[in-house]
Amino acid sequence: MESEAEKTLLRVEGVSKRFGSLEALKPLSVEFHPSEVHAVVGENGAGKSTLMNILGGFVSPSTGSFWLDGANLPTGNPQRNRAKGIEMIHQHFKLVPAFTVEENLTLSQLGVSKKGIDEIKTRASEFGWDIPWSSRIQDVSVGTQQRVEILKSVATNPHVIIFDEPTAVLSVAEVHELIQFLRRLASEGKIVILIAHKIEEVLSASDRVTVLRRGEHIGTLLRSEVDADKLVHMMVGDIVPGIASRDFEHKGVATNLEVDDLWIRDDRGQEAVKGISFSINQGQILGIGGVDGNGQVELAETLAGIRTSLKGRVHFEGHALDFDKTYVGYVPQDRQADGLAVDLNLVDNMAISGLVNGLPYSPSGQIAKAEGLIKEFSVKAKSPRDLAKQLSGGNQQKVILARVLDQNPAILVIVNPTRGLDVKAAAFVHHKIQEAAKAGAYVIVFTTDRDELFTLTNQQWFMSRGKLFADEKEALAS
Amino acid sequence: MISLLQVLKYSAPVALAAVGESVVQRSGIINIGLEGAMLNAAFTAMTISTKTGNPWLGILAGTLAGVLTALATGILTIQFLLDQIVVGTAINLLSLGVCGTMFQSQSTTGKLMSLPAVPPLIGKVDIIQILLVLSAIATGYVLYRTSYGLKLRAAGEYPPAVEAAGFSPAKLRYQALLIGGLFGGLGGAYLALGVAQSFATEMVAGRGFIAIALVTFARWRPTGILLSALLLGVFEALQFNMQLTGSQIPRSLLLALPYVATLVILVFVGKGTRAPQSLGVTQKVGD
Amino acid sequence: MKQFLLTTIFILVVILISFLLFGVPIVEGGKLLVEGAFGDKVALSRSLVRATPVLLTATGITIAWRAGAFNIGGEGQLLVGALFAATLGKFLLNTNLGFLGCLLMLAVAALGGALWSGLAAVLYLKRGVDLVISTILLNFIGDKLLMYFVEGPLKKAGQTAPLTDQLPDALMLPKFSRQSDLHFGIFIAILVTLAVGYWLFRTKSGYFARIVGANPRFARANRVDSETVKFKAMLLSGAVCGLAGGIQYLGINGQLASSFSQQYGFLGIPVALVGALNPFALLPSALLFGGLFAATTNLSRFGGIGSYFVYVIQAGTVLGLLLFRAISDRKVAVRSDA
Repeated sequence: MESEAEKTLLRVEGVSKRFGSLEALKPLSVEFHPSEVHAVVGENGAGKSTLMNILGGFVSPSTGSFWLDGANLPTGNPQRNRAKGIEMIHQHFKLVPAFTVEENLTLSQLGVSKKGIDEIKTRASEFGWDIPWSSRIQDVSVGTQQRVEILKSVATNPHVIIFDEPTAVLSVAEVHELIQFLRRLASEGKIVILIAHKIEEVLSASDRVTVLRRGEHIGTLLRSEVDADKLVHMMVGDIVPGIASRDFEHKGVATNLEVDDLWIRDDRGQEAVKGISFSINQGQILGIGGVDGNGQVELAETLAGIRTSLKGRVHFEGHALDFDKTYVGYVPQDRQADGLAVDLNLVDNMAISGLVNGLPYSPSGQIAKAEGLIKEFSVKAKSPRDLAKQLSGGNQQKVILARVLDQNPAILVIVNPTRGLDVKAAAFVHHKIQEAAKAGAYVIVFTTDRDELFTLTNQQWFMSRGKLFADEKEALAS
Repeated sequence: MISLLQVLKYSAPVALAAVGESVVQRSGIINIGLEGAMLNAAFTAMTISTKTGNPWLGILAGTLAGVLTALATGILTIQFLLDQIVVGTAINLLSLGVCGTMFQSQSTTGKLMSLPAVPPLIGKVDIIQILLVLSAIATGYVLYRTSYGLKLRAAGEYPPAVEAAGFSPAKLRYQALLIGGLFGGLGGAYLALGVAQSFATEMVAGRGFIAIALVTFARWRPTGILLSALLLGVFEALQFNMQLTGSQIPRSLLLALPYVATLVILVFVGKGTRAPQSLGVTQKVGD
Repeated sequence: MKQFLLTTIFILVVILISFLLFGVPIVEGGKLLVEGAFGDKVALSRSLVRATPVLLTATGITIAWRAGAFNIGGEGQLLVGALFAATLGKFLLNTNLGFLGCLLMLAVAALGGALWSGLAAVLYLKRGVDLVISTILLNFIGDKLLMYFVEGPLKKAGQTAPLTDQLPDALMLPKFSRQSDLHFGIFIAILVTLAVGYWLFRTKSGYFARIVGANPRFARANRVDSETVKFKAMLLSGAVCGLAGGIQYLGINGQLASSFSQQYGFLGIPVALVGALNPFALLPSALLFGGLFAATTNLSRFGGIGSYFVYVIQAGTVLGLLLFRAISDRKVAVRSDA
């Protein structure tokens, strides 16, 4: 009964995913049509990656099924999905940095095709791409690396190609070229699925848009049926207008922390922060939102004193900020890799802030302190001697916050303060942060949680591609 | 004063071990236990050759001992994910203990024995030396010009890319270790039967570690490794000759030469930015 | 406590297996082992004498490894330490310094060890030379260096055998009685180990060493400089191993021979690993292995079981323990829902 066109559909039916008690994706049904670029959009945590991982075969859905060409696809098997013609371009490339482009492509073709990479080279020239075949991956631009990754996938002539947040790492010009490429692939009859969050890109690239919000399928519309405002509204609900500065009562002169034209390089040597300036008064909570990966970590690390900037300065109460004299409390983004020593116990994990702040070493004092903080922050642990790795993620987060806040830092830099915390714990943490501000701290909170951004902070900025924007829409579009 | 042939002979054990180790390291493992593997090989070679009177059986047996030692290392580091350095040190210790004990129980007098020697093939060159040169070239070729070598090197640089291509980094590392064990075993066996024609428990004397250092110096390229090993062999031959001719330079300093030279080489080379990026990193098996 | 019991069981199992493999009758062998290690005062003092240097090198190794610096050079540092002590000893021969001289030599031994480990640390910091390889190479170089001095500048005048001058009793570490070899060094070793334990768990710098070793990124996120911490740990580690050399020199013979090395530096590694890098656990670990060393002479009637036998037991215990810990770690459910 199905027509030819319908048979080459990729159909998702009733697919949902639970991780323990967390419902990452509520049941959704979507059709992906051939010869179309179909964008799947939503904020961080909306469920886009979960859906894509399921489609790619890396994760099995809790319920539901999907169908390609009328045939039921087995789930949870990436190799089989690839055999069936579904390819995925990951956000994190699976390329060997020290190998040349050619070597990487040869490697990827080894198990697959005996013809080697001549076909790939032909394809590349068909696309109009000028690829430096003998250059090492680590030496070529990210945009070129992405093209290599794409070439790996199109070599098998797949029917479905999924692009997972491809524009996050590209320059504006490269984004434009990529969008042209997506449209070209679609015109070849393929099903092109684009996972994205930037409105402008979605609008110029796609024929159809599916919007997810907090795991829920909000709707699937044709490009002709949406515009920027409608999309944003579907993605985030109502935009809360910026909250006016709340002045907390604090003692002392209204001094400030001023960031002046900061330029910062990331670990790969590329500019992650491009000339940021802002200032914040004592007792204020500044919020920096925006999508992950736009320079937030580099900025946070520089403000915390563990990364040096390329250019620009940070002024604190009239002088250049001296980290040896001023304790900056820092809650890093990756709590297990940077925030804790997971093989050590809670006493050791909590003692660090005080010690770095100049306190003397006192085992009994540290144990008492750990016990006190565990109680105060309701950390679920049997004893302070529990190892950090035995705690759940949310409780680990509490440990880090507790030890930092306990030092009454003059400056507080926090990344994603309530990630993994339940409502009650999150409210408690917010309360503590506001307390710290009231007591006169300068607080800078980086968060991808919009609700948190607007309820916790006095000022909101949005970070995109290393720059700050006051207007959220502007940031999303950049 | 010293002949190329002499140098070739003296450097063969280290060179063989280093060629094998270059394969191992390119796959991402640092095999500290190479020293123990060579000792096991030397001991086995000695035992079998004295029992059978046939040096070739000894060489074969010694090589096998090297392979088995490498296999044990592989299981401990790849399957059980134990730290590579600790495992290597433990293997060395175990080998020293086992060989030392078994040797002590056999020989009451101690060190000097006369073992069936490896006979020369062409002129004064024996087949092992020829094998050494050929295999250094062959290994270099396989590592850098074949698809197998590509896979193996990718496992040592960035395992996720190997998995994405549908291969198992763990399997490749096992294979590399077996190759390393084969060469290390051959080197150890040749040390006993070809170079020294005797056995002493302390005879490997750090050659395994020197081999590891050589791999870094020669940038994981087997032909470079062979040449570097020959260079070190010059020192060893010099030292030997000087002792014979009763040179004025103290024996101790001559003995120290190879180690000092290796260290100087490493300092000179510096950080070796071309090391396989995943070298020594404990990897989870599979995804 | 549980760790300790586990370790003891492991050692017993490994000894059992080793006996079986090498054809040693179990009951008799076991009895001889115990007698040889702890049977009477003589045996006990022999065990303690053997345990002394191993305890120190294990402590030295623990210091470095805890900070994430894989110092395998305990042997070289021990030898260079002894060398430094003997060099000073030559100058002290005709003085009347007595115990003070002894202490000076010990201090100089520690200095020598620290210099030797510091050399490797500098090469690592400045030139990126891997600590494992450099410290191993320096073991061999240190050995030959000692050989050079013993056969050359430090050789006792007027004799052919390569030995240094014999120190008079006054300059050496006092012995407890004339019957046994047990000397004052055991106290020093225990004291140093306890001090290191205190340093590691009750001081700021020890704490920083532990966190650098546990998670360098955690250290970095809190503005603790890993490289400085590691460097200091290497120096301290070398000093303790050097001290071991000094104690061996001043406690046993007061004289160096070119065969001074008894592999105590190397053997400290399994002792440290079996003690899970905890200074307080090193005490029983060293005593145990020291006893084993002393006892194996008793076993020599069984097919030449000699000094190498203990290595088998050590290695077997280490590997067995590591395997056990690895397997049981996998079973521990990590309750993280991040």
